[in-house]
Amino acid sequence: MYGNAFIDPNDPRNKQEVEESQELLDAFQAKIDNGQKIEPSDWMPKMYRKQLTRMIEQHANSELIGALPEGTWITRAPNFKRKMALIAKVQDEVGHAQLLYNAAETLGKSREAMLNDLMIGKAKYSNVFNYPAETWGDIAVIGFLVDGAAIVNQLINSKGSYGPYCRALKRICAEEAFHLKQGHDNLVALAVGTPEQRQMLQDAVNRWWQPLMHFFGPPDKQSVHSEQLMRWKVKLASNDDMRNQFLDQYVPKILELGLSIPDPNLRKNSETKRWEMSDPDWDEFYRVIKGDGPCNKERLAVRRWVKEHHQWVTDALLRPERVRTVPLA
Amino acid sequence: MHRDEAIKELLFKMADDALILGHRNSEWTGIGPTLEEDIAFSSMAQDKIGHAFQLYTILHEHFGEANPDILGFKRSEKEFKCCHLVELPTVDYAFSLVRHFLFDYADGLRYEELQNASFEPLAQLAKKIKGEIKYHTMHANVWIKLLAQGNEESKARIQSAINEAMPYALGIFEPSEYEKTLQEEKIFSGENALQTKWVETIQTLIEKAGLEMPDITILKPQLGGRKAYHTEHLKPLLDEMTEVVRMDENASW
Amino acid sequence: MKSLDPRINRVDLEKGENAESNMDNFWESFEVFHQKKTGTAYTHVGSLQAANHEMALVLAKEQYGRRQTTTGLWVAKTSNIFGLEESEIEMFETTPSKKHREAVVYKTRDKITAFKNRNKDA
Repeated sequence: MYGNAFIDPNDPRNKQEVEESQELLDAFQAKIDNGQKIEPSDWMPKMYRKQLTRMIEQHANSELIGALPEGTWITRAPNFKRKMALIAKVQDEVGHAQLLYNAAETLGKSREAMLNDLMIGKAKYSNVFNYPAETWGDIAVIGFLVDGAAIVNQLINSKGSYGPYCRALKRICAEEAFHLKQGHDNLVALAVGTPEQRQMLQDAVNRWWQPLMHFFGPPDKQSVHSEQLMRWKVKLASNDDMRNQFLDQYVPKILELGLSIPDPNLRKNSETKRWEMSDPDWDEFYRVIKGDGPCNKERLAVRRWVKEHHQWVTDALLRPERVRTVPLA
Repeated sequence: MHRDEAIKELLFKMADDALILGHRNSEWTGIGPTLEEDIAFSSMAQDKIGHAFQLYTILHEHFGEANPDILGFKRSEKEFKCCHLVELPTVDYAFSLVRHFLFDYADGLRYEELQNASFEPLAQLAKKIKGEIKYHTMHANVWIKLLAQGNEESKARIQSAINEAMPYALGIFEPSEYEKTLQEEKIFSGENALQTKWVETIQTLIEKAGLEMPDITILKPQLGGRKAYHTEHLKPLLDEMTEVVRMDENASW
Repeated sequence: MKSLDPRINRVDLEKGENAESNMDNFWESFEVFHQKKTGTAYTHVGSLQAANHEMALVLAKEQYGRRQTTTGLWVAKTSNIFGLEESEIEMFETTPSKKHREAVVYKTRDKITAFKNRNKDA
């Protein structure tokens, strides 16, 4: 699972720094236009390397941090089927992080550097994981809707131009099929259950709706999405297009269970075929990105604890003669 | 009838051990020492919980006990027959690895023998999961060996976890009142015989890793689990495990 | 800090404040090759970090074998894999045009038919 890699075009770090020869840039672009994939040892523009590194790194971080809200209920899952499915699902998130850190490493940044940047709060991950999983109902909503949103995003990204990222995403998308099914199964069990179960589920839908609308990033009119990233097939769809696709796929599945969506203005415009909705609170989105969400502090504290607590295991098997090698991924 | 009681007792203690240890091991899921090891340990937690499910299923189908979800999630502490080793809190990774090493070698030897049990459903299960258990012991052995030979700190941590866990591990083999029946019925040669084989196996591995095998003749085995006397840790574990299912006893999840 | 995760409440998160960023914190990178069915080729499926070959295999079993059938697994240190640079790939450019290696360019049927017809006529 993963969230949107939000690349802020106004961040000065995202401006192209170096003039690169037009010839190389043209050849690179031609390769991408041809549908060829870029491999780690290929020449690539600095900006391409930088944006992709940030994007794959954020994706990997999101998988790893995403294991925490769902992990909240691992020891409390209510029966054998749910208990084993939840462990398997959270395990997959860690597995996805592993694949994605490998893919990001091929671009030059080491796994340690990425894990360090994550725990000190320098690196980003999807905002959605800064919200708490308050009840078992949240596990159903995360499993179905947050994963559903992530799959929309990941399927689109798997058509991108960077070979190792595509390979990782191909496997990840295949595994997400199970996540989505078990999430839906869990959601339906609560929706058709007792009044208390339904209420627990409805409350969870209400809590997660705004984070879900934030998930794909700010509306296109606010975010000057980079034409360049589109041409390079780093970014393949606009935020609004992805959000629209998500609503198309998932709103009917929520409504068919008699659940409500906490936005009275949500409706599909039959002429434009686009969803219309109340504007989510974008100030909150930016506030949470900056570190002020309900769980940001805990998430990072847990990652620091993991590092400190297990350091002896790593240390015991370090050998100074080893030279770092970049994985092939 | 005696035979049935004997088999039931064996199945319950094996199932309860597997459920509680699987539960404990899943406490590392998402927060394990390296990404790769986190994944491996989570798989083994799932395997253990799966073994419990299959053992409870035999109890349900052949002995008229309740279904696995009821046996696993709705019995009280006083009905559980797990050993104390699996109940202990998950403190650090050295302890978790050592517990996994000590328990899974016993489990491996037990299931190996049960492949020939005269009670067919159990023999079938033992054959079915022998590959999983082979992985569990291989995983445990590789880690114990590497950390024993890692550096001074890791060696000391593993050694002290072995020393600490050993009296509890001996509690795995707490004899049952049905030992003789199980032998006569050609189901299982008994806890004492299993313990002897286990001590031989792990002593060799522990010494090969450069560690010291505690003198078990002077240790006091932590017994009682098989008679439903538990450590203070089991009750809170079960309370936590059943927090959701207890919200509504009649709901289906 | 009170967490909603009982697992997290059991650990001392404050100890994490001593965690240090260090960049020399790496083991060894391995590549994993997987066989899905006997008789088929091993396929490269990805990489992992481990302290030695033995651990690499044990960890590869779950990261690369838990969701598919497996009949064989290899690991090799990444540092032992050698490959070509992008600029060297042009060595292969003329390969598709080397028709003398293709079965389809060897056409004998016409000649045999002609030969048979000649003999018939004779």
